[in-house]
Amino acid sequence: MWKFYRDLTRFAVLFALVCIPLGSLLSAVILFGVLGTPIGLLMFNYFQKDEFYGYYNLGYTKLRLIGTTWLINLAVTPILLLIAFLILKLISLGALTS
Amino acid sequence: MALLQVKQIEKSFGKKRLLKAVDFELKTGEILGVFGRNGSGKSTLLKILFGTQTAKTGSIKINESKYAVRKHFWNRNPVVADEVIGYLPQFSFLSQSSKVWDLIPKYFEGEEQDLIFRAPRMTKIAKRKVNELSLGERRYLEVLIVGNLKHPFLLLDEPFSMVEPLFKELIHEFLSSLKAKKGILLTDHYYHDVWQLADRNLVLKEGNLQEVNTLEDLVQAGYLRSK
Repeated sequence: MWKFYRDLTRFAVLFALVCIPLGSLLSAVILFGVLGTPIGLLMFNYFQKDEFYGYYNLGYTKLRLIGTTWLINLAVTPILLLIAFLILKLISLGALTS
Repeated sequence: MALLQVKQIEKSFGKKRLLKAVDFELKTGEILGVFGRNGSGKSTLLKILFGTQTAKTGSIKINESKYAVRKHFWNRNPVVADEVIGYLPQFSFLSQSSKVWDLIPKYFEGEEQDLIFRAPRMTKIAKRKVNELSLGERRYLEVLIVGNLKHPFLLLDEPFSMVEPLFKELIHEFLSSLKAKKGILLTDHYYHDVWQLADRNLVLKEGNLQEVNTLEDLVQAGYLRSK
């Protein structure tokens, strides 16, 4: 289960990183939480689709795998938002620059 | 003893009726061979039973538990959730970039891992990454993994495909040993292997399953040209 979470979220993080230059750090974090999982799923389906059968044999349905991953990523998003907000605040105060 | 009863499985692709009211039974302690030409619907039937393919009608009963086939992709898949059937697909389901000894603990806990690590020829296999294994080694590993999980029934789609004779022998021995506690449905175009292992045989022709008792029956069913 955790391998699935890691594999899918790796794509979600990549998607969020690509979004930073297009928007802002805060919008990238929100996109990670809301759209990261479906984007990650598309990529997982493209590159590692056959691995689903390993999870099925362990009793994990697709719904359970995706649902759990999405819930965790949504739950993590407010924490990431807080961290992103703090980073931006520190930058604006000049604490992270010389 | 557990009994798997499959009733009235129907599946169409567009106008083509691939499976027409397929029925069969399989009990633990038995290996059932299923033959059929390419495109006859063998793999589709196995996927329907495992719940990863939808079907028009049909039901699966395991002892007293009844499972309707999934009619739509959004339906729940209780066969997977209840871990009643294990499935070896035609393709490799293992993470190709993982080392075998990192992979085994994802499927088995504690001493159960020894079932894989202490299996014949595993010492050499365990040290390598999945994508470094030969086709035969990888198939053998996959059969070992699926076979040692707890499901009472197993669906094996082409376990002998591209496997060298030495690994075939090991797979034969392993499946024969599994028969004591599991019911196994086996399908492969290496028909001698299936014929040798199976207690009963069926052939899928024009959407129907027919019983075959001799190789001559397979010739009659149009699966073989001659014995």
